[in-house]
Amino acid sequence: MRSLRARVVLGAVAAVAVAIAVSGAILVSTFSAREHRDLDRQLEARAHAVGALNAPGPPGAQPQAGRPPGRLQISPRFARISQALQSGGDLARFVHGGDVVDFQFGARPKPGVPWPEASRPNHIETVTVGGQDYRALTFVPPGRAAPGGGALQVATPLHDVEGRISSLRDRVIVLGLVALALASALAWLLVGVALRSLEQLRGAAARVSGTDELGTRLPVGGGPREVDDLGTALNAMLARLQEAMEATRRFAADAGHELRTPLTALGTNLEVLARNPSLTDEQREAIVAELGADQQRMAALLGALQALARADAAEAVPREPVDVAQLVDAAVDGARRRHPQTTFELAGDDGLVPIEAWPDGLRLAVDNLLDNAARHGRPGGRVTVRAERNGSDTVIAVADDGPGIPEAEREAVLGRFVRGTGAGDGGYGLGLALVAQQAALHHGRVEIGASDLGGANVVLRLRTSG
Amino acid sequence: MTGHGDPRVLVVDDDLAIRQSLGRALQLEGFEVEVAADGETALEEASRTPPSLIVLDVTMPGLDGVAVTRRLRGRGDDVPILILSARDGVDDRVAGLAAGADDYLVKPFALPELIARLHALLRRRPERDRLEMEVGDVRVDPRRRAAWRGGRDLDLTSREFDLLEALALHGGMVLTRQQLLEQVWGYTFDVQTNVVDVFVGYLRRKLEADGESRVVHTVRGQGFVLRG
Repeated sequence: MRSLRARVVLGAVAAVAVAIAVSGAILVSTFSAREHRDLDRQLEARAHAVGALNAPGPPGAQPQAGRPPGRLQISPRFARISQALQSGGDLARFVHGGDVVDFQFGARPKPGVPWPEASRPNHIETVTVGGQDYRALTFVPPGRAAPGGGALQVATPLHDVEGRISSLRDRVIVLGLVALALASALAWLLVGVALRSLEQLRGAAARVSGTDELGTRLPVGGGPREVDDLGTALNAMLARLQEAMEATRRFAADAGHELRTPLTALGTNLEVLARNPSLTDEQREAIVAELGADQQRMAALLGALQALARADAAEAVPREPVDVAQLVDAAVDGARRRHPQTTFELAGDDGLVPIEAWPDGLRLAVDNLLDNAARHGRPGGRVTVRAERNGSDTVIAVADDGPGIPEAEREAVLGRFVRGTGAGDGGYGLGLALVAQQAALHHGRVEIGASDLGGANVVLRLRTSG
Repeated sequence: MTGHGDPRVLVVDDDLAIRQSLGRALQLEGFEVEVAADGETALEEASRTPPSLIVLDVTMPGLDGVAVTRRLRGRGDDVPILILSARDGVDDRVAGLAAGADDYLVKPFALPELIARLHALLRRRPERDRLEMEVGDVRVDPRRRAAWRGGRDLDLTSREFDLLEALALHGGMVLTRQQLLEQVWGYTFDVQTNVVDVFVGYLRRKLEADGESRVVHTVRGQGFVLRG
């Protein structure tokens, strides 16, 4: 059974059924026990009454002379005995010596009814006489317990009591079944109501997945708290998804935008080569140089895009102790070869403590800092690089002598595809975004300021663990 | 350098590679080329020596292509403007056309297509009879290059007016997209563009601004017709 409604209702109905059955059984058995106890008390009282009435006189007074021994003289007392046996069906039997006299209320003494022997005296037990159940008390007056002594058995039929008990049981069963039916119907309705808001939530969720529009939110409020909580949680998930989706869309659009420009230049130059067979050598050289530059620009853009995507996808980057001084040294070495016109000056502590970092990512960040400084610095200018301990942080600061980054743009240029107004040509606005991404991955940050050289001073600040 | 009397094209793009390659290509195609790296420079250049044509990048830092178009049209400059957009989305090129540009191309484009379009935009459209026309409650005055619906001045851009004029000249006749491209844009060559539909959209918006009934109708599978 896969329906939640059916499952919940079945569970509830089963619980109600058990509760009704247990309380019904307790009710019936309590009632039955009390009825039996009352019956036994009456029986005892009657036995005493009959016994007292029939209390034999002093030994020898009965049986009377002239009569066969063992015969009870009962006739004078019959009426009074009958009175004592109040309810219909009561039995009494006198045993004296070998004589047995049976009485039944409303009837003449009637010997010969089969009557089991009492198992023990002064004890109430259930006996079956003539196919009917009786509670029977065998009463032996004190001092008469000897064989041949007188004994009195009084029995009262159980069928009234049992009738009452069984009618109570029947009523309890009928009422229980009715209550169970009502509870089932009520549970079905209530669970349906509770699940309706869940169903509404499902419908809304289906509508959201049916469209591309992640801006839709599920209706929350007015339902059961659990359902509202679920809706709220789903909405939070939707918001996260929408955010991620929009970032991806924007990123794809920006990446496309950045690729279209060099592709246009490339295509135009190729077309010019094709349409103008009689270009001068000078023109041809210029075109080929531009083609190469466009190709490099696209390759660099692709590399940067892949680096961003890789780090975006990296939830846990591989970390190991990194010697920052050596990493910066190697990066500067590479940058000197990439930008032979620029003078790179390296300064900083020799005794930098290794930090826990992702070496490839950190190198990528430093490379981009250096390329950025070389590109935006003055042609043939200076770039100073410092790697040092600053309080509990390790900082890598790269300063150039270019136009610098206006204060208003310092936050924005860390975004993807954002170029500063003074950035000039050829960039694609991803360099500092890559640095910022690596800083975030390393729980550090990027700070942009003005350098002593007149340009920008970009600081990558990393926490030195421990 | 090309000879005197060649059409002057102003190429405006913030990207050096585009300025270099496009500038050279257009020069080799017989245009006299000026380049500008941003919107402000482009506006200055356009007022100093008015070009015959402007090729204008939409996405530029500072004053972008849409703003440049709006300023030029705002000061009554009717120079044909072809917008270059690097985005596949419609937003910025549509904004450019709405601001008064004549056509757009999405980067990367084929050079021959750009050149063909520039030549077409330069071509003087044939002089038409200078009589006022009326189709329904739409009145078109070719001499003043103005149009009204009821008594309301529609305030059309140059290209929007050309489109309405072409439709009015053939009042009641269906014109295909190709015919409109030829008559309004001068594109006698096969060209993949939805510029006609975009401008029909602008025209309808202005014609129906007060909730009036539609007068520029789409004839499915054929083209457009002006019917009062």
